[in-house]
Amino acid sequence: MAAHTLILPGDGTDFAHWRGLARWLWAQQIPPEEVIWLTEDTQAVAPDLFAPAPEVSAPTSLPERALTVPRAWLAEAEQCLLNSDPSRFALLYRLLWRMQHEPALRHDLLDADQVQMQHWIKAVRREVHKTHAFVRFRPVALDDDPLDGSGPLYVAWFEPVHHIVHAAAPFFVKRFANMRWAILTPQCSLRWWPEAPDIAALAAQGVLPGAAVQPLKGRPGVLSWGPGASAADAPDPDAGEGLWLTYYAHIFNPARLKVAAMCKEMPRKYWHNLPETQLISPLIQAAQARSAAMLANAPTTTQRRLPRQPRAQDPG
Amino acid sequence: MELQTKLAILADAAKYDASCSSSGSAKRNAVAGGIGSTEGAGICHSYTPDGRCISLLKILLTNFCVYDCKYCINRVSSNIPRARFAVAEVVNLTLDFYRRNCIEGLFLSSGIIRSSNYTMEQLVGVARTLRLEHGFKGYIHLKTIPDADPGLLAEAGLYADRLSINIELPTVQGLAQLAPEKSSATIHQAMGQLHDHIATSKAERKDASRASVISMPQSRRTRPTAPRAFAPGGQSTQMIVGADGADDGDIIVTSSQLYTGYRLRRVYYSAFSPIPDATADLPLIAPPLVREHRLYQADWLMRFYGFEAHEIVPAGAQGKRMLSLEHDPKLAWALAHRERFPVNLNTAPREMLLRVPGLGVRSVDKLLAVRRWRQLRSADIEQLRVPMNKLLPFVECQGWSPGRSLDDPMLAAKLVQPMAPKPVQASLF
Repeated sequence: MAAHTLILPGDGTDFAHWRGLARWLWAQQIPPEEVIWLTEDTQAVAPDLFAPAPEVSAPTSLPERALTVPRAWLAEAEQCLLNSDPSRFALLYRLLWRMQHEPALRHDLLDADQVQMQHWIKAVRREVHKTHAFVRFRPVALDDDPLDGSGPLYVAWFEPVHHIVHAAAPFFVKRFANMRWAILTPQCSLRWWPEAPDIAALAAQGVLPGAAVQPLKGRPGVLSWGPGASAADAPDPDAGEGLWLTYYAHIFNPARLKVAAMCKEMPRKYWHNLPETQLISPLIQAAQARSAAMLANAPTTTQRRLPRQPRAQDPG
Repeated sequence: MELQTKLAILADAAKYDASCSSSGSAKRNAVAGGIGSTEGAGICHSYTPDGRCISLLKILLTNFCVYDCKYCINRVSSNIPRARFAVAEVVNLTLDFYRRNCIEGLFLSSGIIRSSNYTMEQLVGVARTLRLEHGFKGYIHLKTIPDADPGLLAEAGLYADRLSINIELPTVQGLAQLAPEKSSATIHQAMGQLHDHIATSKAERKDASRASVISMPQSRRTRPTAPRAFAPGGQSTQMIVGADGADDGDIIVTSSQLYTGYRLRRVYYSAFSPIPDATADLPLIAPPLVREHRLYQADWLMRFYGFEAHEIVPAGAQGKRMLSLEHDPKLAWALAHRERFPVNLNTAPREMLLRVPGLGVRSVDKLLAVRRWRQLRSADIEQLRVPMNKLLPFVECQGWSPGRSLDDPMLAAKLVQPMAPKPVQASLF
């Protein structure tokens, strides 16, 4: 059956590459069930020993065969590739194949393959949103540098499930455009140089032209990226974080425990990189006793002198 | 007093305000200078075990207060520890938490000290410093004091994304009884003022964006500068549930009047929960969390599903209008109006699809999009990924008919949602 094995470079999120392969497959009329999609990254960790030998002939000039998809679908497919599910490549090619044979499929939002694709896209968008929410910066002292910026460097360590680091970056660039920051993840590290006039100016810092962009028009600022990091590279908690923990503990109302509601919105997979989650267990354990004490304590008489309020409704 | 202690006291004092939303404001960012941004949708940066999100740094400027509202932890007659922040302390805390990416901005409220005007001036001072001195582009929500000077109110709107005035209790009698210094008339008057400001500013900005200017050759500007927005995130309010005798009907009708009368963005419901050092006048009970949840669901039905207040809370036993605790309000409505069901997914209009239990706005829009091209079949219902047991008795389509299940006298019992807290054995300790 499966006669073709394709190995995508890196984590497989390069959309242009996938698109080229899909066109090549379609030009040869290779049906989706005959293709096995793998990535270099997964092959390096856990190689699929039973897959047939990968294609060696690079997909080059073949007679073009018309392939039409809605423009919006391409953007969605690009987002879908950021999901970490290994079968996403196959699903996208299957949808591409089916759309050529069933023109009505593009409108069918309740088709099982379409629903699956939307589900994966939703997971990607959700994780981008959660990254914006749960990345926590810690300040590290750093000398001022006219080619970089001034003030401390804010460093965060984050472990996303999907390949969303680049998709999440523009938010931080715009929000913290004048702050030096770095986001470290196991797959990739980002660094924002707010005052860098252009990419070439950062050559001395080891920034390569192919691994940086200058995203903001009409002002300095370079976003560069590099290989992944480890948790040990991230800074330790500082004194300022104590204030945040104090706030977290005191904004919690022990009289209303809704742990399931909390876990639904702040899944446990994110907990180990959020400093405040160390407080959750003690807060829950003490909640019942604190709440019971509030109910049991007899009302006290006030120890303060009460000001007399002039009453607007006072007659005369 | 140490900053950490102050923060603890003033966060403790602020946690009974339910609102923490950071959504619905104008889009801004720090590309042209300053720090911070707002997107259309808000971001919740953390959650506490009470199920509430932390989006904003929610604190009181001070918990000293001259009022004696019975339900409030900060009332003058309570013996809790008191503290007061300096303006600079709040500004620095906000900026520090913001740089750590812990918050979207600031929600600032205050007890009333000296006079309403003095207190309001302090609140506005914090917002002004953040915006003008630090170029802060994040979200600011200011709690507004109803009887403060209108000039201060107008200034607050220039810096804040959202302003709110708490209505506190659903009925005038409830307010008179539990918050003797507050006046329902003043609260409504201030809400009306805010509404006027917001509506005027919106209209002016709309006009400005339409009008074009005659500009010199090669001038970039083709539109006049828009006037500054007044509280682009609108206004909201909060109502305490369960402290007075008001029934759900009172609450829902009051909210619906607030939504239509003052175009409020949100009405927050806060289940009255035990507070430290409570007054003897207001016996404490466990907070009615399920009731609070049902009120939010009912609120949603009015805002997004085309329901009227009187449909959601029909008069019940002893003339009390209460929401069912066992069924969500939409399901309760459907069970009481079974003659309107089953709804045919292939032919029913949008308004009717929105009334089907289990179908949300998105699911309805998906069904409408698909049925333009083909008939809906029973397999499609599964692809919606919605609660089937709730949906199936009320719909029909190609390959699915609920049969006589709508006539089943046990239907309501079968659809009871396990929302009500389960009985638990009392703790021995």
